[in-house]
Amino acid sequence: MNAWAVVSGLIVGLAFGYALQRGRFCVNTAFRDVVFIRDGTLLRTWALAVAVQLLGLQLLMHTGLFPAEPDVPPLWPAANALGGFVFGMGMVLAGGCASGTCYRVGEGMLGSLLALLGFGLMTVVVDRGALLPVQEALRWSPSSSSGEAPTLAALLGLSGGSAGQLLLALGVGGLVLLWALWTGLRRGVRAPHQRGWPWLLTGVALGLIGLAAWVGSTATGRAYGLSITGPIRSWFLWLVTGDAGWLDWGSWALVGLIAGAFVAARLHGEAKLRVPPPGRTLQALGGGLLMGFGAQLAGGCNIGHGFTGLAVLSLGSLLTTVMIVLGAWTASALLFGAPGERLAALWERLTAQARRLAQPQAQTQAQQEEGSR
Amino acid sequence: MELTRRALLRRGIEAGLALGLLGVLGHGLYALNRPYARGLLASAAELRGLLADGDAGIRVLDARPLLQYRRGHLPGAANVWDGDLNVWTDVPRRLAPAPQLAEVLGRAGVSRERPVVVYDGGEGVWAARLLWALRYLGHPDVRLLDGGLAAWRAAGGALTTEPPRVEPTTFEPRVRPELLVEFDELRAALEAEADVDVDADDKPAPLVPVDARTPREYAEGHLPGALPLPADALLRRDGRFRPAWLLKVEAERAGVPLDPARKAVVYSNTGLRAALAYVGLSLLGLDVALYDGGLAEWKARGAPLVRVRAAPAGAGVVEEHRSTCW
Repeated sequence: MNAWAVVSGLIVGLAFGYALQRGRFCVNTAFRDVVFIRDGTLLRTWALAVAVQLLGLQLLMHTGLFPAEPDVPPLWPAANALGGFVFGMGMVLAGGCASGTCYRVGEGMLGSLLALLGFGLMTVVVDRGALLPVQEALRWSPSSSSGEAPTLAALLGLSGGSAGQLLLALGVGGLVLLWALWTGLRRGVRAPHQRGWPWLLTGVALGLIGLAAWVGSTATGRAYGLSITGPIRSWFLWLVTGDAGWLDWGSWALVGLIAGAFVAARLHGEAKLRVPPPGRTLQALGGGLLMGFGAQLAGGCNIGHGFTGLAVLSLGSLLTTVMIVLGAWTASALLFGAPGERLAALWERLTAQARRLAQPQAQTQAQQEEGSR
Repeated sequence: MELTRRALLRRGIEAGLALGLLGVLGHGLYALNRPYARGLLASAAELRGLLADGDAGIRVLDARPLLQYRRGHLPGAANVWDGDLNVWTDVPRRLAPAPQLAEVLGRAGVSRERPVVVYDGGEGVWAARLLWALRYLGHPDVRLLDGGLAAWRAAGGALTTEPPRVEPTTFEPRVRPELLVEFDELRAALEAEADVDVDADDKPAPLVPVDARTPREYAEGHLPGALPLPADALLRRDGRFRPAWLLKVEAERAGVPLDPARKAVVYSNTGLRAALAYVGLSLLGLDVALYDGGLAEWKARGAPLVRVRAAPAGAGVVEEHRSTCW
């Protein structure tokens, strides 16, 4: 590995951590807020970031400025679904998604640190330890006749590099972007209760950081963008085997992320070592272990799948992301308040949506947003 | 708003991060669009254009076996088969003496005044070996058809069975010894390097051996200090060379110094895959020579080999750093 991988990874990681901390960006909070306090601010931030990154990457690829073939995470239906669901439940227990946990470590939350350590441990346990049989049993792929990477474009029969593929990407990205801006700007660039950066700035910044990550990381031979699960695994593998070959661009970006969040918190007087009460500590550890299990099984977390993988419209990433949301809602319903009631209400809302619409996801969410007001 | 020192610091850091991101983005795009060193490859489309122009200056050479050549070749291509360029002694496939080569090339109508484009079926090794031989003999303008016959067909190029009109020429070799490394020279250089005290602030060794064989072959025994750069890693699945940025990544991964002041010495068992690595590293603008004797000669002369120590649980092969999650 060359020195540039370290430098470029650290720079992008620092910016990522800084933006995460200033934007309080955490998809656990995002998904929970939509259902439980009926606030879509963070969800819009996430959608905006995904759309900016998706549009930017696809445009770079189709203009030929980005000549690389990006890694598309494989589609493992069983592993994606179960892993995503377990990860979603785990992040509710841990009190933060993969990126949220990392930036909170930078803020000095020891509960999140414990969750992160549990996360890393489980990635190695599932990938090459006692739970390897689970991963091997669940990671099967549906056979593909064309041999193309499992993306939404391939599913629709659009071959790589074709104009149809670009149109699809522009269509999906454009819809998500329009939805986020349309529903968000009516409420202003800053939600009333938001501290730190306004959602509009956070979303655009995260999208651009994701784009810079794709370019910077690929130039060092790692044809992928931001991720957290792979890098945590790489640090644990390095610790256990002493083989520095595991460390790559992503590993340094992870170090940068935590450092960047610390810098941001420190500059704004928000960095402080905090210890949760004993019960909460155990819960964080348990949540971290579940997150590690789920993310390794699914092949990624809310960043590797739910952010970066969506930029190449990977089917595995779409499935995992949906399952993370469902897992998070299920765990939230079980954890906060009368579980049966909450789940029933949730089910009611979802089926009502499904009946009403057979339209793209973005619009569904838009109308869901309408209905919630 | 009054700018306190802390607010200034915040803005400074935020501006620094934004600049850093721009730097990564700019550098990354620059690196990803790195061009090949000029004058080594010709794309099928490029060659079609040149041949269609009736630019009779170009001599096209088919490096495949004669039987395959007769079944269909590029219009105007003459056949130069590997077997006519090399000799098999106690060591398999060594470049034949210059006069013999000059005769074979003269019969195929090759002269130093006319540019040459070489191709094979898409394997790359045969064309690369011929390209290296021609350069060694001092030909100033030899290029390789990227992707070979397969790419030519994919670009809509026609084949013919019509024998070309070839006027025999006299090829006058001007041997460039710096492109070929002999056993004694290499062994002496590697032994000298082994003697150098690691802590001493000496100049780095001028010769860097590069092993173009598979990781398994490398693990079973390679030249002292050799770096593993499998020839397979240099080509795309369709037989064309990988883009320059990816070649650079592969070279860096192997540890090849990207320093034109140091010379990479590529080798394989008999110099075929080594020729591919010769082209691949030359595409990065590096100074490359080929150790023609290869591992076959190295072993036959009883020179020392290095094995990769078997990993405790592995089968003696270095573990591949595979990503199973993102």
